[in-house]
Amino acid sequence: MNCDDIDRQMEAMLDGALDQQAERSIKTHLSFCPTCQSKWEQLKGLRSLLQKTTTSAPSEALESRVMSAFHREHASERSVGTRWSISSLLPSQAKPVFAVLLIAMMIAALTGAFILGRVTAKPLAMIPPAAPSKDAASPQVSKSPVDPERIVGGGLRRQITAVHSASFRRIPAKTNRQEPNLIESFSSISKAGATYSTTTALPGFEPATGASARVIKGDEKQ
Amino acid sequence: VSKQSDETALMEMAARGDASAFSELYHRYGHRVYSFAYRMLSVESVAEDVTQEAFLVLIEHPEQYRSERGSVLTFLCAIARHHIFHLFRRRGYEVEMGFDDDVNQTEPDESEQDPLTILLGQELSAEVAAAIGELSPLQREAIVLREFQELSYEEIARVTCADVSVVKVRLHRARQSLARRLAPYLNSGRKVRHELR
Repeated sequence: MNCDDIDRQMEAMLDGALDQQAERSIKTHLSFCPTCQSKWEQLKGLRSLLQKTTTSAPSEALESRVMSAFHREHASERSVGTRWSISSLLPSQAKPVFAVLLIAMMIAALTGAFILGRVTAKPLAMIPPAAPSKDAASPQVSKSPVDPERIVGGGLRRQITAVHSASFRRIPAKTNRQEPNLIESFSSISKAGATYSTTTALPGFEPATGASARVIKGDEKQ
Repeated sequence: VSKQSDETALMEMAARGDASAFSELYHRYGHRVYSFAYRMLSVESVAEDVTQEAFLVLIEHPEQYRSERGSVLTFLCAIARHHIFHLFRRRGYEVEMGFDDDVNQTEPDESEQDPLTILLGQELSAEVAAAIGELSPLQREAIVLREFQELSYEEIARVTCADVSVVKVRLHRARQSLARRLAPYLNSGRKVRHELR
């Protein structure tokens, strides 16, 4: 190891970044090389000089500022956590999407409630009793497996019995049960109050070929 | 390893809002971060602002600290360095050249020393501070982090975002400059040391 090698490694030895073997080699060199010994002394002297200087401590005001910031931060975290516990769980990018979904759900719920209210409450009880028809001699509707009165009330039952029975034929019992369509057909009747299609036929019956049903209101003349 | 796990535990407690854990962290590192900032900037009030900013990051974004990347001191020094160099860029070298005359002290217990020793120590400290202030910012931070903060080469490299080899070169050049600037004190080193005793 020559003087250039020692010169390169001397600072690393000063900084404690050399292994023991390398340190031993350098110390051996220093013991017989006055030039390197002088440089080593200078390095140590510089460190000693630097370490004689100290800085004053930071002011106490700094500590109180930092601690106040800490308390402020954690106080605000607590209050935010109480008020916005759900939204705080969401990532910030998802919050607008969450808000839109929430509004959409509220609108859907209100619309559903409005439609349900119109379907179930509005004109059914208001429909006057239908005049008995001469053609309705055969009370086939009353033989339906579903009791309309049980579902929608007596007003509608009277209306259904006014349908021309000649326009319908009975369908086999195995396909009779269509309760959801029954409600659909009743709503159509109550709103339109007139001709309706096969999809609105009473369960247990289907329109005869080419025929259409006509609902006869109480104040209408056949 | 135990020191690092201790630091990590303190950091976790502080992140959960434990004021005593955070206070412990401040008392461990507040002075050292301030010392680094002051030796870089040489103005007390600005050094305090930089120290405060470093701790604010610790308060507001504790998740940014990763124990596997280094110690809390390294993390704080890296934040402080960011602010220091921001000031350098914003103000040129205006901050760099200012020195408070009454800040550097030779020994903490100077009240027990005789006036001549205090005077010599103050003069020496002012000279050393001036010599450090004349270094380039990159050399200055290398020498401050090594000599005063006692960080290893690897830690300095992490703080300064540089390679270890680059850190060694900066340190070498900084020491050469300081040795030239402070040659009178080094050449009469034994004499100075005797006078200070």
